[in-house]
Amino acid sequence: MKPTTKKKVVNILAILFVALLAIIVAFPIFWMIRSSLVSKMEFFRRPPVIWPSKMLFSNFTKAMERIDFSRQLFNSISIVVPYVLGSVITCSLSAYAFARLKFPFKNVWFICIISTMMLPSAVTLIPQYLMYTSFGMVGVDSMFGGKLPLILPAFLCAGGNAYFLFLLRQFFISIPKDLDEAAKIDGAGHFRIYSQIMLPLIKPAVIVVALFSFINCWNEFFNTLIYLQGEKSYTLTLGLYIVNGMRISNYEQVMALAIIVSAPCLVFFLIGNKYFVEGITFSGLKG
Amino acid sequence: MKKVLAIVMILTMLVSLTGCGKDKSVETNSNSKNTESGKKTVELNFLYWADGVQKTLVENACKEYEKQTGVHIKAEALPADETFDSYIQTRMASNNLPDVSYMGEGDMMKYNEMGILADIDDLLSSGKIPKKLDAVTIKSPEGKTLGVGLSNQLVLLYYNKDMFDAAGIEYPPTKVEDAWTWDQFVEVAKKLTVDVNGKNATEDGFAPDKIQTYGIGFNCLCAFHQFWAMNANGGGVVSPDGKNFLWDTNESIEGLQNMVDLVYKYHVASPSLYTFNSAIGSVDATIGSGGYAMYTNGSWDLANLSAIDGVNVGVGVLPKMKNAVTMNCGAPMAIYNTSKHLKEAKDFYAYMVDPAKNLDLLKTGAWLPNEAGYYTDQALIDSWTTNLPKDAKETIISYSTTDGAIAQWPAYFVPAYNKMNTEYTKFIDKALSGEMSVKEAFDLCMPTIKTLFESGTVE
Amino acid sequence: MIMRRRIRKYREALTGYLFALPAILGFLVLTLYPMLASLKYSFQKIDAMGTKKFIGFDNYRYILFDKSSEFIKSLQVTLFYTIINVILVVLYCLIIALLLNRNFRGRNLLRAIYYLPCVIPMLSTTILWKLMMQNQAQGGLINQLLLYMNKTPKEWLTDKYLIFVVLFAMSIWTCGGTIVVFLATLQDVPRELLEAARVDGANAWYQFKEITYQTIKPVLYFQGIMCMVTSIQIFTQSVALSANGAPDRMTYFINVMIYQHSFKDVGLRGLASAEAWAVFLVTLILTFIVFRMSGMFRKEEIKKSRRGRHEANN
Repeated sequence: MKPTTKKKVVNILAILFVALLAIIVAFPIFWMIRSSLVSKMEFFRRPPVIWPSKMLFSNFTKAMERIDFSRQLFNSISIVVPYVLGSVITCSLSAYAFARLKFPFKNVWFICIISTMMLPSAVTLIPQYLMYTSFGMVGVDSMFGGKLPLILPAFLCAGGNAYFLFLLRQFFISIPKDLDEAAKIDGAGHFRIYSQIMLPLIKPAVIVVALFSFINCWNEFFNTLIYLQGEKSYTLTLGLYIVNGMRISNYEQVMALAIIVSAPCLVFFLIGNKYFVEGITFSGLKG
Repeated sequence: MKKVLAIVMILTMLVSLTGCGKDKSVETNSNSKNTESGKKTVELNFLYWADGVQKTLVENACKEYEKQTGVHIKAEALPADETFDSYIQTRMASNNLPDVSYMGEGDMMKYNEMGILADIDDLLSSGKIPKKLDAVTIKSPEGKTLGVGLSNQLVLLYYNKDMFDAAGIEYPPTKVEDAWTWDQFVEVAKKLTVDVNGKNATEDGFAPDKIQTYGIGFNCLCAFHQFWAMNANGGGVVSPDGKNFLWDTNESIEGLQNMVDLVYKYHVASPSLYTFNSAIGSVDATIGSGGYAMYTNGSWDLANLSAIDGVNVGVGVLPKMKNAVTMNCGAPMAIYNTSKHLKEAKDFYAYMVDPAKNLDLLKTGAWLPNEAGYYTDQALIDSWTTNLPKDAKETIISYSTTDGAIAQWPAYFVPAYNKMNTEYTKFIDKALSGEMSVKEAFDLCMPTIKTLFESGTVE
Repeated sequence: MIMRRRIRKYREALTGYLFALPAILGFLVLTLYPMLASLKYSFQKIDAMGTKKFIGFDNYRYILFDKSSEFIKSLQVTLFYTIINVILVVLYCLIIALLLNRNFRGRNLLRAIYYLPCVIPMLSTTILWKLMMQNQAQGGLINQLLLYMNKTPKEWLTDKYLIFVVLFAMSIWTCGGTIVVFLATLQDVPRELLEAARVDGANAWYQFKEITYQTIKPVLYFQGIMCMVTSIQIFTQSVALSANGAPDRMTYFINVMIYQHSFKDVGLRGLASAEAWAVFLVTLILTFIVFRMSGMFRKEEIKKSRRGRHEANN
């Protein structure tokens, strides 16, 4: 019975270790919350204040006053909603085609599109920028407040969305062939097969794609910095960047704003956690 | 649940679409707004950077102007960092320059060389704008007047009065002629630097690696502490007439080395590197937090004094090495010659640069007047200094009325300044981090910088 | 009959193209064209007004050989960060995944905790860590704690090597996604094989090396490559921690430099294109090396594409 005892000990030690490490991992999040609630003087107090004597929720309202909060929230939403819709629709359509349909040069196209995942975005940066500019899509006064360059890639499976295409294709492939054969005999067209048979079958994957693309788009920084010009079209993330760079250092307000900016992602993660794990566990994400 | 989600999504889409539609229609209207009389309302696009108090004050000034003249000001505020210039560039690339904007001190020469800045000499010669301080008037090498600084920002020494009291040290002087010598200053900084055991830097057993409170901190704008040190030691970047290159002189090297020594030799200052983002923050975070006993920063920080509670903050003159000087900067405003309403733009310009119209900014200390009269005429002095702390007022007036006490930022008059500075940026951290001496770092970069200076052009 | 089959085939091809059109169009318009255009720009000088002039290899000569070009240094720090980061992240995630891969109560909670930081925007993460790591005089937590314990505080943000500790710490903190993927992959490890090995008296290392590792290898390398690509493009961390690549240009990463040259400086877009292409080639080489290292990945790919073709033919 000795080996089993040893195994048990190892097990307990391992669990103890990951649990302790998890406390360390969770600590910065605790600190973020703590730092958003302290007063300015408490922020600097030595030794550090672990929890504020009085929770100052006013830091949040003050932080929101430092930026044009409602407009920036609106801007963020008006980018992220079409972005997520675009990712889900076009990636699943294309993934269906690459997984279930036969057409010339299919594999060539697929490899080309998949390889964009590994492309450093800098190499397409300037021409893309010039292209969008020449289409009149850049600048506060242009179409859609200059947000199109941030939304459009989602509708073209570009800007990292190839990953979703890849993911969804793996799912489509795993569905047995007979299903759509049967549907075809019933006279269903490809679009009907796609929308009424296939899509419901891979719902967890679609939700994962929606979650991922939401988080990606919400967290986007590099491109927003380039394309959103003028405070009018800034997103919340840019608002946070600006407050961070301000000369007046109300760190507690900066932290409050950082929490506000992170909140939607955290909420969506908590809601979608189940689907997320399910999606990955099924998936071809694994290779 | 699903249905609710779908409805929410569709609603958001709709709102975002209609929202945008609304936006657009407002814009097309405002570009050429028709009033009842059929006369077109002029709209000027004005770009500026600001944060906190300053932003509200600029907004109010614009609103006031709209009320007075009926000219609509479409003012856009941007963050006060490097993104401002890239924003102007993108606006330029899309042929959509504003009419009037703030401009980084270092960018005037660049845009002048591109030929997009209007000459405002007529405003000055006609007396529409009264005589400004020479230190804030920007002239191009070919003699055009490109703009005037909105403010006359000076470097000041802020300090924690309570710490001085506790250590029994006299407050820093407020008159240029009384400025501490460098040795006096280092001595004070040592006494005020306290380690974790409560020992200060002059005592035995002081632990230089466990400092609790630093004697002195520098905000990291290079002009505001490095160039100052060079000037204070009798060197500088370029001579005021723009002819002689002083950056590689022994005086400049020694001046900067003195600064670095505060960190690595005397252990009285926290390391400060070149960059803005790693700056130690404003007066409330440095003096107010109790982390620093003294701290240098621009006069704009006076506006933040009210945000500090529980700590008494004083203001005084900087110490001297060979010269008792301070540095100045002050964002100029520029008019673009691409403006469709050049005349109105110039009128607005004259309004915005007039200190009398910006009293609200002056009273808080966010800005200092750019007109000489505001420092000499008692009535005018009283118009903006009443709310300022007495020591701050004395310090500012002393600097502004003493000949040669303000060293001008080379960005104002050296066309090649930006590329010289870029080159400097690449190497200077090596000296500021104590990795090598200032002399060694300068040996690496000064030959190139000198060539750039001699080229005499921006590009 | 043949006719009808041909029409069906033709219709299927058409539908296929129609469905895949967004992706194909996206590839052509947002990847292929910009890549070729930026290759062209890399041989040009583009001034502030957008006028382009052909200058041959001058841009490449400048970035590779000119003394005042910072490309080489930037590439060095980027690769230094990338290589160490990939190794750290993959090892850390693998270890955590292996430890978490057992049945106990609270497993899902722990997994959620490890995953949580990676959904926080990088900008928020950076600001948070910056505040925790800064100078004790400015309220930096870590340094205050060090001081409290009578240890020497460190200049995390201004020391040219310590700054990488902060960068790696942030990277590890936010790599929960990879942990979850590894965890999912570990479910595929054939239990009966592990059991058999155990019965044969093989030690834990042998079990891992011969069974677990062989199963998860493709995923390991895939995640490694994805991590590499994101590491090479590090930007937000540098910009939010310190402007101008401080300290001593150690955080002047490739993307920071290209952003600077493209959108802050005037007239350097041709140069920026050359830099971008050089980085692209370096990434290509690195990816190739990793592929070669994995050895089996290529075979796997071929097998997969064969299988795909096989399925398509059915």
